[in-house]
Amino acid sequence: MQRTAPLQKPQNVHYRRMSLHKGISKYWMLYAMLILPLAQYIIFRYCPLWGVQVAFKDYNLFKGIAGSKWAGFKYFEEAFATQQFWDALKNTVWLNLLDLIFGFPMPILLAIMLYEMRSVKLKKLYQTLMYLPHFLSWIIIGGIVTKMFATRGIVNNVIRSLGGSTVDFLTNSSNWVVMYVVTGIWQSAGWGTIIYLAAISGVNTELYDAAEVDGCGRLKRIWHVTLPGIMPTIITMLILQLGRMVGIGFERPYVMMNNNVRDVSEVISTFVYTRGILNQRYPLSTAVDLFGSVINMIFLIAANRITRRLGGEGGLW
Amino acid sequence: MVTNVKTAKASQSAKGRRYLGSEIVFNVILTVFVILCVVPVIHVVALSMSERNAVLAGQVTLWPKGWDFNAYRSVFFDASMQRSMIFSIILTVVYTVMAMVCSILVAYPLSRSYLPGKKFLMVLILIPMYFTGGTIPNYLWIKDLHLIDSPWSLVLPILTSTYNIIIMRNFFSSISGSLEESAKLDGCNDFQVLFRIILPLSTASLATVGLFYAVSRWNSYADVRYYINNQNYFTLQMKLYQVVFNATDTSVAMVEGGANAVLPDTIRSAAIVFSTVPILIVYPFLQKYFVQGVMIGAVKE
Repeated sequence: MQRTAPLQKPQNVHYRRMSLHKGISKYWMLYAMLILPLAQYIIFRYCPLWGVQVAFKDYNLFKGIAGSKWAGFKYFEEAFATQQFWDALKNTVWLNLLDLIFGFPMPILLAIMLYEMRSVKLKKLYQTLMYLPHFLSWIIIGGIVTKMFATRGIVNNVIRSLGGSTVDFLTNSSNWVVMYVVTGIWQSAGWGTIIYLAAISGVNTELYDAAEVDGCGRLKRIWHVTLPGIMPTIITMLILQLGRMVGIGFERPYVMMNNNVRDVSEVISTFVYTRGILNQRYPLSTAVDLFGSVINMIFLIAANRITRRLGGEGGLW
Repeated sequence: MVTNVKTAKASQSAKGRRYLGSEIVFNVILTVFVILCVVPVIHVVALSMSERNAVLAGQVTLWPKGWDFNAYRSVFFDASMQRSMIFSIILTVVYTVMAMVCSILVAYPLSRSYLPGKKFLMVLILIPMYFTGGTIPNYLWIKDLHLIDSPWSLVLPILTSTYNIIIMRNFFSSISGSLEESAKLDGCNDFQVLFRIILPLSTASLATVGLFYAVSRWNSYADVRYYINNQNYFTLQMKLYQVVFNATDTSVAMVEGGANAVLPDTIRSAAIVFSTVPILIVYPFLQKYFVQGVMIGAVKE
């Protein structure tokens, strides 16, 4: 974008050459607008980065971050030596992997089916209802799920009335994992269709007509025209999701977990919360958090590089 | 012209017959998914309005049985619930207004392609999308700023969302530059251009981003959990968590004692519905805007 801009708008060349000093005096109002938001960025997004060094220090509440003594990789070693850390790491990756396998394709399939719907009114209605779960908080969703799938909840009532026996959806570890993934799909698959619908409507319609002329059926047309057309978007979304493989937001596992399933539901973010904020083990939990972020970064860069190496569009940079 | 329309219609119905099989399959799958999306919400609403015995017997499915609004009375007249509701509303309004001002002030200059240093500023706001301090460094920093247990800890750290800023910026850049030029010839300065020309033309994108900010503040729970211990600053989500998940928290359930006490389960359902209602009220009005907003934001740089 940046490289091609001057070709499209020749006047940009003029501005690009102008000195910064002249730029500031001419556009000082635009720069003045930026003062407040940039201050926010610096104070609340850049300054906390300074605190990452806590992972390498014997943090002392009274001496502060700068005054505390360096500890090297002591807290990383401590984390690596505990089973709970490896459990949290394993659970994070495993739950994310399941989300990727089952959750990632859902919005793509739904978007393709929505696009193929003929009735515009029904399509609008379906979209409205599908987006709804995205606007509910995880507390509400967690409340609804624990209510419906409890031993005395509606789902088990129905199962029992049909002659089945009670299923412990939320207190059995493997059932819990299924519930976690299904709830995630429920919450986000409908909302996720928006971006793919936008991509599908950007596909060249001549290609559809050509496919029609060539006698392609609907499924063939989806396979040969729609899917390749939205592939760059799919790849971009895939890379972004891969860049989050070692991170799970705090709220979703936190509201769904209970003591019976802690072996599968403890993830890095909940580990950091209990060790860090509740037990005030700041260096240890910062080290764990940092370790996760570094692996995420490696995933992100690797996925992006592989995409570029394969010559695919849709890479992030 | 008329014949064109006719042939188009004819070919469409021909196509319709041809694709009937896949059409039915697609519609059935979509319908099932949509039903699954709304059924849980309807069930909780039904549960919250049902009579005690019907709930105990597990007879309530999708329609309230025996209509009983006592749970709502308990929730609505509970002092801590009221306080959380009022605090959440004030917090959401203050946050949304401040976040919108902040986002507009950064999105507009960045949407001007001629602004020197634009690329550097863009990188500056994109970096925090990938590099964040993490929970503990953020927490320690908030602590150093003496914002723990202050409502500002729920506002200031999240005043800007890079994602929302990019949505807004893309919208601002899509507005024709000639409007700006003619306004400037008439003697408008940058602030006047922004407030008199750009913003009135951007209601769709402003409504979208405003909705995103408001909903995210209304629904967020983690930062309240991290930064707030003072009950006076518990948001509705935090209160809801206590009511729904803590078996020991009976502050609401104890409002009415005795044999006719409202069931904790009904209270919980009522609390869930109670805290969802504000979103359900604004949702239909803003729905047409946010799809547009997301699509604009989805345009890749």
